[in-house]
Amino acid sequence: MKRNNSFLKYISIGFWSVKEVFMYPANLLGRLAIYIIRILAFGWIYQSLFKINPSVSEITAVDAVWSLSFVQLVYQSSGHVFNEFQNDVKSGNIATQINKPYNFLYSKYAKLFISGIFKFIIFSIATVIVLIPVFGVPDITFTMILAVIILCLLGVMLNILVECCIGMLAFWIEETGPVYQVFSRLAWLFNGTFVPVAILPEWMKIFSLIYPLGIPFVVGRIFEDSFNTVFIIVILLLWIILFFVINNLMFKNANKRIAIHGG
Amino acid sequence: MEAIHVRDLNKEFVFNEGKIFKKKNKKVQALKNISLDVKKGETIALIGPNGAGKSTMIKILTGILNPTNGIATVCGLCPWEKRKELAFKIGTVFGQRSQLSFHLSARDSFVLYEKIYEIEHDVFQNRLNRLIKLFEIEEFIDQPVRKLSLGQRMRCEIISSLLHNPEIIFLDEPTIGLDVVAKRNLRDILRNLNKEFNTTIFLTSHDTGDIEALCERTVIINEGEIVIDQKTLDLKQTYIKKKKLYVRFSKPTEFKNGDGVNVLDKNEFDVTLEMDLEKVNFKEFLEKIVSTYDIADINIEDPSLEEVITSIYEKK
Repeated sequence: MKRNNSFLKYISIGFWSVKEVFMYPANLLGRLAIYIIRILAFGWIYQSLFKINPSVSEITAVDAVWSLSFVQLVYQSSGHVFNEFQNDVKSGNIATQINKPYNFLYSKYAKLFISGIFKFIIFSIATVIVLIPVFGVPDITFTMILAVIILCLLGVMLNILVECCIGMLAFWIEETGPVYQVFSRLAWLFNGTFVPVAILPEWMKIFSLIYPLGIPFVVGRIFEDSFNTVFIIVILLLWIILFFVINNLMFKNANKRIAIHGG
Repeated sequence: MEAIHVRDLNKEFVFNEGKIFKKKNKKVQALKNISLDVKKGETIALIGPNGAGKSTMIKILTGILNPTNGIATVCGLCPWEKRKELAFKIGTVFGQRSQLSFHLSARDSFVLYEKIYEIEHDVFQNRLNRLIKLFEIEEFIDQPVRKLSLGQRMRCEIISSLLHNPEIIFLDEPTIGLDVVAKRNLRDILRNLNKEFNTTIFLTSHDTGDIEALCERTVIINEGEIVIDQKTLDLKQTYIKKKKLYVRFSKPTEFKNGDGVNVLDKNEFDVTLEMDLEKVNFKEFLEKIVSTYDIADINIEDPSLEEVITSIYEKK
């Protein structure tokens, strides 16, 4: 038996999960419809608010709508993945996955990240198709587009790691839903889901950079004059490394705590 | 060569009991000093009542759970230390859990396992084609797993655990929920698998039919301890304490209870007897009634393995 490259194994797991996503096109279309309705609704709200003051904290209504869509793109591509771990641990299905010739944790990352990229591509295309005719093109350069893509993908990666970390708490506390609810609702205040981060008070902006559930959505601040893309990429990478290490340590410990009874 | 070697294996689970501020740790000893050897190509059943430790044992041997202490090697590897290496050498089937994607077809899952188990494509194709024929799944291999019947799904589950040609296959209640025909087919397939590939079969089941049909050796475990370890055929002989005898007479006959002989049912031509073999010598008794009565027919019935095992559980 020939031993292939492990990396290819994880890529295969990732593409297999993409196939699962496309197995139910109605689910994907439903999510897409809700996403479009949400950004349109918020876009129109921003438009009427910006009529009173056309430039709040240096950004325009069009910038605000687009920054909201960037934040939503990250969320739609990586949100709610903590359930993956929780369900496997609570149902005992982890038993059928843990004794396979791969690292269970990395297989989860591959599955979530590659399917996340596909969702990101689909939702990005929908965003461009809907937002340009309705709200227009923001003041954006080619370099900024590239930066948005990099920041979104790093955001997706970090959000998956953070949510996996919360999901892994299921090994200790079983029900991680309340933990996720508390942290995610707080994140919504600071990550630009409802209010563009650009118009938040200064201390909230700083908090959004140090709050692990808020930082994946930092792409929403791209239109701020003070936004330093390279600095933010470095911060995102540091958070990614930190959560990668934390998750590995947690999983190592969790491994010894696995208790699956009966059947 | 030993396929499985276990010495003084212990597993203790610790649970939290009580309310938030008055939590107490409760310890449950799931396995107590288990020692066991299984030869390559052997078919062995691990049975016991609910909560006896069967699943814990199988999960330790497949690397899913870590024991509290003790030694175990499976295919020469320590399961909880060499989990990934061991995965290439063993196959697992958990009757109550699925390792196939519920949403995709069985073929899609098999193709993924080709990559996961790093099987060369040609080898994979040949093996899959052979297993498709053996398990007769051509008709539904391309249907989503969620649309398969339980019996069809179990056949696919077993195929997914055999694609990498494992040396040992661990089956945890593989026939649970299957109808009589599906059970018989699955047992035939597993028997052929053992004969054709010399695959070691390690089975846990509550269904004594599985054990009688498949396993040459039976280990009974209760409250975490091995209470009996012997050949399945011998198990019946050792633990049968009663026999049933149906006698049909050629003419109306009166038959009464005797010492160690209990009349269960009777009419003028037929009688059903239950004999206590600790009190009655069966051979002598049989000779006596054949010479004494005018007999048209006799039928002797041993208790089923299920009855034997029930009596063992009750005694232990």
